[in-house]
Amino acid sequence: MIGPAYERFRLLGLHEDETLQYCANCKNCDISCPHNVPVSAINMMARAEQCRKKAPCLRDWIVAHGETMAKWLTPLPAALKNFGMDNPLTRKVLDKIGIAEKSPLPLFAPRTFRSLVRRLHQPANAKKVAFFPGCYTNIYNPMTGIDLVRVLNRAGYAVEVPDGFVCCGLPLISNGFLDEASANAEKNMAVIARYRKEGVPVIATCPSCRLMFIQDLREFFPEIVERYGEPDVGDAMRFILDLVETNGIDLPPTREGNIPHHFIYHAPCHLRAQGQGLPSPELLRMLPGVTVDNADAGCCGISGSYGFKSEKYAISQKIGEELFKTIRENAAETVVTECGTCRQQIRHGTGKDCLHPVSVLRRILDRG
Amino acid sequence: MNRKTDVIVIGTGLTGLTAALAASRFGASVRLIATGAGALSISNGCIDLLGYVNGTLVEAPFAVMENLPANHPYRLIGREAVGQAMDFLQVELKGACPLNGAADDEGRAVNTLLPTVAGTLKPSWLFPDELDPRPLFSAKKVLVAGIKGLRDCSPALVAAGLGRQSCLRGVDFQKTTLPDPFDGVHRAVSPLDIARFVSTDKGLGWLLTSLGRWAGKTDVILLPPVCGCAAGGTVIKHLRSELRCHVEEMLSVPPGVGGLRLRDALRQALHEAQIDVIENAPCVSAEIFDGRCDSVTTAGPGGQMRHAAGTFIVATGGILGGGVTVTPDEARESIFGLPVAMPKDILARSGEKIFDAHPLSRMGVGVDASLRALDAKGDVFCDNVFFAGRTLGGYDDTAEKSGNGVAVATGWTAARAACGFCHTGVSS
Ligand SMILES: Cc1cc2nc3c(=O)[nH]c(=O)nc-3n(C[C@H](O)[C@H](O)[C@H](O)COP(=O)(O)OP(=O)(O)OC[C@H]3O[C@@H](n4cnc5c(N)ncnc54)[C@H](O)[C@@H]3O)c2cc1C
Repeated sequence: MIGPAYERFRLLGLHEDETLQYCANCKNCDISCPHNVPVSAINMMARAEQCRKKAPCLRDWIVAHGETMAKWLTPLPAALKNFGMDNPLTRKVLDKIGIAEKSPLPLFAPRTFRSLVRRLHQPANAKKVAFFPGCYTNIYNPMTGIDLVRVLNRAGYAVEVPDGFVCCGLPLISNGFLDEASANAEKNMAVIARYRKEGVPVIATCPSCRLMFIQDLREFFPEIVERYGEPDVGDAMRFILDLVETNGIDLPPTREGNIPHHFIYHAPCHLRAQGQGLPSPELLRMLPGVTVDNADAGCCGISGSYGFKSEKYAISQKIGEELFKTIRENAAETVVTECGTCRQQIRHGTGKDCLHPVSVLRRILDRG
Repeated sequence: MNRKTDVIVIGTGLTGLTAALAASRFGASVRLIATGAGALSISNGCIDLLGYVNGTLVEAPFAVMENLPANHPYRLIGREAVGQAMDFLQVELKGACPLNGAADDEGRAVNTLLPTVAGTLKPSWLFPDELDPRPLFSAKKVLVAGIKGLRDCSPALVAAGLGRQSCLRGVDFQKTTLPDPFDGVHRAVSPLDIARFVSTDKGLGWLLTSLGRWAGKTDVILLPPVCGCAAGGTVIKHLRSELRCHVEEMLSVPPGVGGLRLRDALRQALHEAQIDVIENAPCVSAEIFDGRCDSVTTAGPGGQMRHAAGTFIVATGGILGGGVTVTPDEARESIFGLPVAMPKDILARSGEKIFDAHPLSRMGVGVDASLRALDAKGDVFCDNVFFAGRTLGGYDDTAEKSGNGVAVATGWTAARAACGFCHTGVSS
């Protein structure tokens, strides 16, 4: 028993319910509650309180600090890092400290998104948009960011990736490092406020990062939000969809010989929780020859760092079972979803290829 | 602004789900705007049509609908529409969650009585296989089974209560308590916990073993709603054949499990009809010009968003669901701010006895025969906005036992009206 039901016992000073550690912060409780009870926030605050009393273990530190670790490892080539992290021996050692041996750890990309984007040639004198890349895109999957930049270049935008942006703080909060999350929020909000002043929109491709800004920050650090103003970070796919609808981007025409594409789409829980619908399937369906099935089969089970943990790996696979089955049984070879760790988990659970929708969009736009 | 659709349905209770599916079947493009899961997800999954009128038990609902007050939703839309809506639901759910009704000796459709964990009988109209009570009324021996750790079902209470019912006179009630399926847990167990367990092979095994010694030794086994989470009756059919007797679930206090099964089946139908669902998006306002609604605005965590449509169906529930907002002084419909009549005197808002009728329950939006809201002067407020379900006034679902009936009947009728079908309601 956790969530609001346990809160009254907490208020009475009774000791914490162990099962609190098993909340994945997927936010389906927030989606189901008709009365706006912030169930997931109650859980996360209680967990932070527990961590204040008893420091989180090394494993929790590691999964919460992907950004810091990537920085430390920067001098090493990706192949070495990946060999270092993903060989059977290391996986055994990691397993000992609580990172499940079988869990689908993401691999380091040869270069970070930040280092790649610096060298991209973007249109001069263009309209500006700022991009919050998030750790997953920056460290493991730069292609998502590059594809976004190229799609927006087409619409006459130059994409800035501010140096001041750091990890959104969600993995820090989920693992109980509230103080560090607060420091990160402070840094990010300062950047967001600067762009707001300039009238430049800020967008993100990762639904969890965005949810962190638009919802969690308000719940956890209201004083920071008060100081810097609204954390108005937009959804990148909604931004593009709006451009398409106002003729800011031309889609290829429907004609004979359009190559048929069939995708199955998974809506990440943290996107559903935003309450703005699913812009990606809507957008992709406007492209010639494209069919998109919505899997609509619930959570994939990974929930950020949850599914990597030894004691939660099996639960995480079980949560994702329904989705994996739906995807396996679907004729589409490629899965499309916005969230990086969802992609990781779906690849692991189904063996199918997984892409961010903006990558699909770019490929089809480039082909014309 | 979101792309325009033909029909926007607001609310995902039984009313909204029915309306969205019906509108789609009438050929419209439909978008469903949702926040929260609705009363269906915690209730039992039977469709009560009309169980009592002025406290008198109803046998054949359609025969007495004309005795209802003129502003009752059934009178407004007409009993023909009510019948069509019930048929619609049965046809739509035929595969995934078949719903049956009872008939009397002459084959006339009638209400049936469903046993509850409180030891009472409740009149209802359509029920899924798990709730099929018919063999109960010819049974000689009935076993009432509770489960250790499940607090909301006491076999002694059920047996004593049902034993007092005249239609069950002479029945030999036996009682048993099945062993704790979880070997003790640190919190109260709900029927839903056990139903989830019974959905697994291990859980089904536990249930069969626990009931094994009664196999073939009783006519009916009454269980709390624990026979799996999926609609379609697979678990209950298996139990019946293995235990060689009729097995039936009793209606329970929330979470009733049956409602979730029905909800999943409807959601699946919506998914197959490719209806867009926008989740976690409370609708906060509407943009109205010249008596027509152009769009509604939602305000989810991600921010405000406008949704344009040709017509709108408001299925936001009553006071409990959030469709009607009440303060000590006034009551209003929550999105459009329509006035809802409420007795001035606080004491006049509730009845004497808690389980009887309450004026508060009859509060809701006043509508015309095509379910368009009427303003304070009695004029149609907006041409293209239709109201349905618990947000309507003029009925007391608890006292009448008409909750899901009104939800389906008005949801379907609103969809038909919204899709431009001519109104055929007659309150003969
Ligand atoms: C515990 C319980 C058990 C019941 N058991 C039975 C039974 O066995 N048989 C029976 O026939 N009836 C039963 N009823 C009555 C019946 O369930 C209800 O009358 C019926 O389901 C009402 O459906 P509805 O869709 O109109 O409203 P609701 O189920 O209340 O749904 C309204 C939905 O709209 C959403 N909403 C509200 N405001 C907004 C907004 N501004 N924007 C977006 N969404 C919004 C709400 O969150 C909710 O999801 C029961 C009711 C309860 C509470």
